[in-house]
Amino acid sequence: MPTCVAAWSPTSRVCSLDRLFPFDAEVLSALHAQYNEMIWPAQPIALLLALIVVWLVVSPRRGGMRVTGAILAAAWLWCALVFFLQHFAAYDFMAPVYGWTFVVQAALLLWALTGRQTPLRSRPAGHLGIVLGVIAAALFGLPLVSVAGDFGWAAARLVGVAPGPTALFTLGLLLLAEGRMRWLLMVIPLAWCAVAGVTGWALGVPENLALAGVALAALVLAVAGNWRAN
Amino acid sequence: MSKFWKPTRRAVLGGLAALPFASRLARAQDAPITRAIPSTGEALPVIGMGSWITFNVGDNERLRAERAEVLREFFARGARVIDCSPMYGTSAAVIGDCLEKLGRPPQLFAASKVWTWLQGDGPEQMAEQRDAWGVDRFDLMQVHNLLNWDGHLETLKADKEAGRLRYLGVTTSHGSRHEELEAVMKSQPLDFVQFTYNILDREAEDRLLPLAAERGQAVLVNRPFRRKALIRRFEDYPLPDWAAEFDAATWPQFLLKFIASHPAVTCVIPATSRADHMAENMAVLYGRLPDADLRRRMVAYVEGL
Repeated sequence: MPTCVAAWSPTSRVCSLDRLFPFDAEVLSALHAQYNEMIWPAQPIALLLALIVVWLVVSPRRGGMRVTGAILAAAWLWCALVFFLQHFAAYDFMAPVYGWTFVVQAALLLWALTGRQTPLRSRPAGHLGIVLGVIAAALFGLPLVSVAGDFGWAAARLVGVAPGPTALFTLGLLLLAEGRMRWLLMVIPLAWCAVAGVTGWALGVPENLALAGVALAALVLAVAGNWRAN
Repeated sequence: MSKFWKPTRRAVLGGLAALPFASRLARAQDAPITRAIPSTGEALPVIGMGSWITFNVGDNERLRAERAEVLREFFARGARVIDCSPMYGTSAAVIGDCLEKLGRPPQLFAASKVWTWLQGDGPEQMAEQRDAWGVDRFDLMQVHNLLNWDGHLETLKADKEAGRLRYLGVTTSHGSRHEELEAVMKSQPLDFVQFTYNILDREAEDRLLPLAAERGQAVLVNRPFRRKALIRRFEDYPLPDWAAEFDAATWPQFLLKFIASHPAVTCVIPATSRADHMAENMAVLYGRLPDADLRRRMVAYVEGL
């Protein structure tokens, strides 16, 4: 399929972002509501698994990194296969691109956290609190913002099954990672948050704007933390 | 018109609602404005409907029912041309469902596109579109955004020859690839071309519109409002008093009448998800259009805002 990029029209002198999105905010909300209905009860199971990851981060234990990597990879794979390739593909010609990108991230997480066991640990004092804030935004903040949409709670984007909160949750955890590996692991989550931000701006979707805002803050934290460490 | 009164879509439609006989009266007095397809002489109403974004509503029953009302208004006011593409997500299936709900109006002029890199994938994609719409054949099949246009035109010419479609064409949008479009228009036996033209994006006036007239190619115009951007840009300004000279009561009508009044334009295809906006658009099918002098005044007016 052709890659559709933002069009700079020589006569309109505007970047036509509407060319990128074949749906509006109401339909985006409707498709999330339908998706949530379709996958129930995957949401509470995903939330439980996410809370297990948080617990493993706060109270590190032997083998915890493998479990964390497997859960995160499973979440990205679910978003790829069930959300993008099965559900979203009917609405958006870009869904296969997004889906396969999420598969790549699942593979990277599995390799880095479960295979290489890249450590997740709080480095500067007080850092863990900020990270938990980002994670809380992914777990609870974004679904709360969803209430503002046309379909309210029914269309809530939830961690582990929807791409936005899953990307933000992953970013939060990666703030704790050490070494160069974390930058590689952050590329796709940050890219998705940027796509979501552009969508939010073009269509007027508050949860997407919130997602992009928190992701940007996470990136600043990561860069600042790295600078201090050096 | 007083410069202190800024007509909005809601205000005008509210006024029309207070005169329930007004639209019926207009329809009784006038037939819809039509333009002939040069290759056959078949007349098409000068306003049709695009479906980018607006009909991509998936399986949601409430949204599908709302879109069916949009189409009910569309057909009730004498329009015919509906344009879609496989690029538009679930739009084709939603249009098909709406047509079914409305009892498959016989006046439908079904226009879609082929949009795939490989020529060999084109027939299957077009068959999927026919199934989604619930039609035996499309009236018009276009190569979307000139993608593999030479390969797909070969298929479309054979399909036209075999009676599997009535007209063939090519499309672009957003003012892109006009030079390539011009070359295709000059070299290929097209029935239709589709591109962007509106009161601020007038590049097509220089070459494409005169060339279409010269080559006997019908013109579908997309993005008449730059989606909603032109309406939002102008709606806080008053319409000029002289807009009444060509029966434009709202900004969308002003913008559509500018396009429809170009002699080389066959059909303008604005998209909307609202039945009241559809009624407002369809009002352009009745009443006067601006002449060349008024068109110049329209451009000068909006460029001065």
